[in-house]
Parts: sequence; C-alpha cells; structure tokens
Amino acid sequence: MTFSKRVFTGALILFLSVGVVLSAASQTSFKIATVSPDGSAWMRDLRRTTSLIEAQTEGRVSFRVYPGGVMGDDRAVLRKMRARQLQGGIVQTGVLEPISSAVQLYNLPMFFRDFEEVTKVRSTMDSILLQDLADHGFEALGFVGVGFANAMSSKSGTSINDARRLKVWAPKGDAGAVRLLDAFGIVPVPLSIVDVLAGLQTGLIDTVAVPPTAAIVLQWHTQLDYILDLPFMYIYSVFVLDARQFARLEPSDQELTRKTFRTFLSRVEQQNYADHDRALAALERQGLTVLTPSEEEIAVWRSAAERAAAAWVASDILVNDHVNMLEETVATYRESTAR
Amino acid sequence: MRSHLLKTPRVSILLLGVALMTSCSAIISGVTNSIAEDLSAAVLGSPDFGVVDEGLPAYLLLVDALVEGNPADAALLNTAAMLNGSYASGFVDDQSRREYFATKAKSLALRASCHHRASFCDFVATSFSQFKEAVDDTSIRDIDYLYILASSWSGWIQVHSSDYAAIAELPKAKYLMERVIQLDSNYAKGSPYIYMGVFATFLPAALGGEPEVGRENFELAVEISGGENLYAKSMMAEMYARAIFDRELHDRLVEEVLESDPRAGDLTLQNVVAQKLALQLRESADDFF
Repeated sequence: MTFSKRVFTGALILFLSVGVVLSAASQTSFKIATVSPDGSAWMRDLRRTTSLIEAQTEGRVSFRVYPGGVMGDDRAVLRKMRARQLQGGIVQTGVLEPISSAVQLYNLPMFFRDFEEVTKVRSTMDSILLQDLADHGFEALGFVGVGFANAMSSKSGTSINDARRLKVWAPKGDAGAVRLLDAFGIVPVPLSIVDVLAGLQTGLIDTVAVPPTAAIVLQWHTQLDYILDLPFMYIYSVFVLDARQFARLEPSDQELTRKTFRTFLSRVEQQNYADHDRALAALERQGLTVLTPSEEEIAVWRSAAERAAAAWVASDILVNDHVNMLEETVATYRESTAR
Repeated sequence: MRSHLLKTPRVSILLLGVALMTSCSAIISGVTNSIAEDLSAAVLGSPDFGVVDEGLPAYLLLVDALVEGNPADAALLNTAAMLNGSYASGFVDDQSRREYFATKAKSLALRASCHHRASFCDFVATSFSQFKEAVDDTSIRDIDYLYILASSWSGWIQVHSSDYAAIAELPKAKYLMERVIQLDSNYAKGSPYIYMGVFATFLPAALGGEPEVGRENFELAVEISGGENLYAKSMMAEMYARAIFDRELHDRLVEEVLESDPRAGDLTLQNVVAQKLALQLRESADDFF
C-alpha cells in the first residue's frame, strides 16, 4: 500500500468513525425499569408516552421498558443504572436515601393531612428536591404520588400505646422505616415484602402501614380487619434517567422529553389519588372497619411524629432547611384556608 | 388474566343428570338445559373461530330467553354464565362490551351458585373469613358451580383490572379455584391450574409473585390434558417466560402452540384462542425482550 493510499484509507476510516459517532449521538436510547407489573393502566400509559416521544423526535430518542421487576427490585435498578446497564427507572424514594438527603422530604411521618396540602407544597418544593437528584447524577423527571400509607391491622387500636402492643411490619433493610417506628416506641418486625402475606397469615406480624391500593394489589387485605383513619405517610415514586445519557440529547429533545414525561406523571398521579379513595371504599366493602382516633390520640401521634422528623434530620436523612421550609409552606397554607 | 377459560366437561354430565331426575313440571327445564348443553358443546368444540365469533351473539340471545323462562334453574344459569364469560374474554375487543358481558357472566354465575346452595348467596359482600368457611364446606357435587363462578369472577376482575374494588375480590376467585383443585385435581382437563398459574405470576417476584409456582401450575395443566391444552402453554409464555425474561422458553412455547393441531374435543375453541394469543406474543416479542 502506498503512502497516499494509506492516508486515503486512514481518512476513510476516520470519516466512517465520525459517521458512527454522529449516528450514535443522534440516536439515544434509554432502558427503563420498574417493578410495576406489565399490563397495568399506568404501564400502558408509559408505553404510549415513550412511543409519543420516539415519534415526535423522529427516532432520535428511543426507549425500552422493562416492567414487572425483570431487572430486579428498586435497589437493583439503581445498581444497574450506576453500572450503565440501565439508563432509567421509576423507583420508590426510600431507595435513594443513601444518595440524596432531600428526596425523602415528603415522607415525613404524619405531616400532610390531605392531598391538597401535598399539592401546595410540591408546587414550590419539587424543584429543590429534583435539583438535589440532579446534583447526584440523575435527570429527575418528576415525582408521582401513590397515596397515603394507613396503618392496617388484624387488631383493633387507635392510640400510640395500642400500636406499641402490635406486631408491626417494617420493610427489611429499610433503616429509615425502622428509625421512624423507633421514634414512635414501636419495635418493628423486619420482613421482605414478599414474606408479608405469609407473616400476616401466621401471626408473625399483625399490622402494616401501606397505601390502601397496595394492600389490595398485594392481597394483604384478606388478613386485615381495621384501618386507622390517620394518614401515616405520603408515599411517592420518582422517575429518574441517567444524566450523562440525557445530556447527549439535543436541547430541544431534552425539553420535549421532560415536558412529555411530566405530563405523563401528572396524569398517573391524578389517577393514583382517585384510586386511593376508591381503594379505601373497597376495603370497607370487603369488611374492614375504619377506626377514628380521638383528638387527644391524634395529638400524641403527631407529637411523636415530630420527634421522628428531628431524628431524620439528626441522621442526615433530611436537611433542616428543607424541613423548615416545608413546615413554613404548610403553616401558611393552613392559615390561608383557616385549618 | 387475558382470557376467561372455556368449558367444563362435567357441566354436560350434570345437566343430563338433572334432566333425567326432573318431574313432569321440570321436563321443560330439562329440554332447555339440553339445548344449552348442545349449544355449548357446539361452541366449545368448534375449530372455526370466525363462525363462533359471528354466531355466538345469537346463541347468547337464545340462552337469555331460556334463562328468562327458567330464572331459578341453577344448571342453566351456570351454562349461561360460562357462555357469556367466554364471549366476553375471547371474542369482544370493545372494552365497554367486554365489561357488559363479563359483568353479566359473573352475575349469572352468582345467581347459579345461590340457587344451587343457599350458603353460596351473598358471596360478594361476605367477609373473607366467612366466605372461606362456606367454600370449605363444599363437596364434589358443587364443583361445576365453584368452577364457573371462579372463572366468571376472574374474567370480570380481568376486565375491571383498573378498579380496586374489583381487584379486592381476587382472593375470593382464587380461593374458589383452589377448592376446585382440592375436590378434583383433574377437573376440566387441568384448566383450573392455568388460573392458579396466572394468580401466582400476575405480581412481579419483587412484590410477592411466585413465578416458579406459576410455572409448576402451567406445566400441570399441560400434563393433565395430555399436552392438548394449548392455552396453558400460551399463558406460560406470557405470564412466566416474560416475567423471568426467558426469550428462548417464550419462543419455544409460542412455536409449539402455533404448530399444534387445535382440535381436541371441547378444548378446541380454547386452543384456537390460544393460537391467536401465541401469534400476538410472537409479534410483540422483539419489543418486549
């Protein structure tokens, strides 16, 4: 091969390589995983939404969705995102605790009294929490509220002292939940979520705190008789993409992707809130009794919850400034609505 | 659960027995049951999906008329429930029509059970513990009612899978199906095991689903039917192979279903539906895996 031929060949290879790089840059794909079962209404909505983005970006952005936990649980999804095997996930906020000291803010126990309060706070504070996730390498597209966790039990009880006599479940490996229950003086029984139904059937545990929708889907309601009418904790998930992968998109595609997914999350959240109320009613129809604690009992619960919040700050799960801002926002809202 | 399963072979035996034992005033009912029985045999044994698809609505109107004239005939109500449930799940694409026929099937099955045994009335509203007591008290004589009620109920839940009030009733449908298997593990050529397979796999393993239990149930359905129950294979591909992300198994099951002869007595129509599902699974496999 002559010198000129080598140069030509080298130039051709370089040209082809550049072509490959350009091609790769113009077609960015995201593998997204969730434990939610395939076929559910919101999974169908997610698939429609990803197809819409693919069409509107003319294939420059594409998605592959892995539903039903085929990529493992939420922790496995985050692990695989770090290993770049996945570029996105919809996960419960609890698994991000080791990464972000902001993302669990809305999980503060017994803080919110209804969805209106949550909506008011989130309209001002979501951006702060999402920025914290951005600082840790995530393109956080937004949160999606699931509902309030209510205490449900096979035993009757309305006071915190009643609860201390119960065998209360905590998710195995969830240090935050254990710390929270500790603050209430409740010694929890840690179990993997897959063992909860058997735990309820055998009497190893008799109490759980989950959204009513979860109690029904997981079929735990067949072993439960009472629901405590006191929102225990706001439960929500977060939709994150890998920030490095997201940065490869053209700015206009980034904006379109953000906007389309946010609309999707808002749609799903509204449905979740409606389902939450319907699920509560369904549980009553299935024979569960709603227990209403007295004002005095509620005051004792909330006082203990405030201590739990302080414990979260002391443990660096949350930042004090965020908690203060949250409290001020809610206080102002409650004043304005004369609550 | 994608599809309501079709048919129990014992229904026809039971209906014949009822007809032979009836007194003069009930002979009409016996003839009625015979018509319904013949209809269901013709439908379930048909390898021509198109003919059944076009003809079944007319059959359903006829069965409606028979039920109208014999509103307390438990066996007839049970057959009507089975036909309406089959139509809802296998032949109707429009969601509102599916809801209508699935709801009608469940209502007919509940009426059938209630007329068959008073302790089966109020199954929907009763607490789960009381429900279990009533179901535990059943015997082999009740099995046709238990199965049609379990399958109609499951089909209704599937059609209303976005409604938590419906999902909350799933444990009752599941418990009924477990009782059917306890009473006769070979019932309906193993079809109850398909339901048990779906019950075990509709939740991801991370949320308490049991894919391996599902696989065992699907395999039992195949085994009990002597390999004739193609629906068990299609559901195993969709609910198990996809859940564990096993493309090789998925494709093998799908191809086995598509290459098999669907004609297998009263499993024939169900097998034709299984082949339609297998085709959909093959077409969507590249997107899923």
